[in-house]
Amino acid sequence: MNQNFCFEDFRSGNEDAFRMIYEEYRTRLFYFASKYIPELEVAEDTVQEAFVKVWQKRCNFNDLDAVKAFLYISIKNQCFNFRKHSKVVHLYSNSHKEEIAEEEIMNHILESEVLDRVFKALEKLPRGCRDVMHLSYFEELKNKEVADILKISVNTVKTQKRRGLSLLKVVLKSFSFLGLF
Amino acid sequence: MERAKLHFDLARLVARFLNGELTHEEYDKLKAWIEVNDKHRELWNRLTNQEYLESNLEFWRRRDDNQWQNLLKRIRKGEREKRRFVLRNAWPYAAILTALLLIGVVTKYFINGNNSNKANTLALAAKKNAGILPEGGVAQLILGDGRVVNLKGSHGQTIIEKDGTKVQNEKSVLKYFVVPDKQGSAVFNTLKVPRGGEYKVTLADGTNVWLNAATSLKYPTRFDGKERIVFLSGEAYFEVKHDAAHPFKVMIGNTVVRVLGTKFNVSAYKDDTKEMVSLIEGSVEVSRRKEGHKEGVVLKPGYSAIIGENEIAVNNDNENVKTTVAWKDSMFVFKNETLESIMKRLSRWYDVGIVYDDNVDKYIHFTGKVQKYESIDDVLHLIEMTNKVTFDITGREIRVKLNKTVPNEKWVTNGEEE
Repeated sequence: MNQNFCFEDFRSGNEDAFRMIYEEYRTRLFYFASKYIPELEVAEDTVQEAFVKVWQKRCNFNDLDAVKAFLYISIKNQCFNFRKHSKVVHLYSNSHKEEIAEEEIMNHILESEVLDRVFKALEKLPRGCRDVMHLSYFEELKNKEVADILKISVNTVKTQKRRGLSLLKVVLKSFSFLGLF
Repeated sequence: MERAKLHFDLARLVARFLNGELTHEEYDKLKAWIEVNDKHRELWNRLTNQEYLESNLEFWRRRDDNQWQNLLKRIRKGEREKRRFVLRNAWPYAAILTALLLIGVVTKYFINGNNSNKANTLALAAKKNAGILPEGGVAQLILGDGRVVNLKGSHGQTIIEKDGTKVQNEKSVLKYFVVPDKQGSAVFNTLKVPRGGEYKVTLADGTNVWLNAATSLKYPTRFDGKERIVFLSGEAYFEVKHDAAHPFKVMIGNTVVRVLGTKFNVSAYKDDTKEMVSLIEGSVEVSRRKEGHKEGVVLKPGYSAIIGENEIAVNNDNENVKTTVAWKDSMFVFKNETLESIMKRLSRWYDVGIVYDDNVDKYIHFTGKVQKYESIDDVLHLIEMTNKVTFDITGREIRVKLNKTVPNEKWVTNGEEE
């Protein structure tokens, strides 16, 4: 979350503070909603609706985690309601399981949160560094080949590779859990 | 609420793990959670899988700045019009869809009613829905700065890349134009075709590439270097512009296809065990990148190279080579191909899941030819006519079942079928 963010501002009705919360959470919530509703417009709308509710109830929250939990649960409820209404369609699409286990919801929350963190970590890498890492680890090119493609010196490739976070190596290269520990 | 918070914590641990920052105590905590049950382990495996992360992160690259303005309007007015609008509008569609499904079932019923094989096909008709159709000309273009543009064949548009390159999208073809006042170095673009789609791109050098379903091609906006290099995953047919001074290279995993100017097909899906390069015209060299040395073969027209784990095999069945590129001309052709391989191709093109009953032999061979823009029913029906297997369609899942109406026939597993 942005350093200028102040929870009290949000509670007292500051729209800029609310926007920071919105920008911080919207994508992962949208992703979460899409797990239940494939129609992206509708999924996006559940996210907006949840934020409208958060704004109305802003005085009831004590911290950001409470806001976030409320957003997820509100979206989940809307998605289930929507699916109930559109049962006619879903009856034919094999996905009319009304009861979705609590466990599955929690796992979707976990997944949305992890992806968001991974994306934000990748975003922090400088562009050039990202290209070098991608070609080196994902496409498995040699330093010389990477240098030729990006038209930079082999030394720059080496430096950029060193700068690349271990995260990218991990994210861009499949690995097995057992192989690491 | 408390459970949600617990999962926020777990997410933080997983991210720290991916970041290489996890402490021993945190690792124990995470491990305890993973070992609770198979669902947890499954989720863990997904979250630490590169391809899964990469493909799902697409969501984060979507940018729509109007969303905040919409929200602001809604909180200021306290209005909820938009929501009701979306939900109310979904209803007519639901009704139409239901009607279509019913018409589909009824039509099938009447058509099949005249069939001699009555009992069998009637049961079949009732089980099937209106038919699953491919989507065709859809793709995503990922620009140099990570922005994602959704492409639709029917929807013309022009995009200007950061380096000044003009990209034109029209009638399912994406075309690159190098402009004289180019700015800075070339950037990489990626064209991603989803399951059920296909697209064509004309690169900056005039090379044409047809991308099959579930395929992604990465290339620079223009070719400035000594070599023209592109990266492929999936299946594509290339017509490379001749330029002897600048060899064209297709990178697929550890394999390099080096060409001067020629026509060829590359099939390199990650869920297939082998990669295959089939040459129509000209000449290509297929080799593998390995530490210290290079091994390779040079193909002649009508030949295919099959790249396995340990070796590159060459096949000179000219007819087969023609079959491999039929997809480009809207045909679905299989020649003495295993059921498993056919179903895999169908699953990509119609974006469906395939499930086999245990008693089904996936290695029966079939030969056939259908228009690929027709509904999936057509091709499934063709296969069913051999009386070996039957299909059940539920939603987007296809179950392959043994045909029990044929009494205990001895299976011919390696012969060519009718």
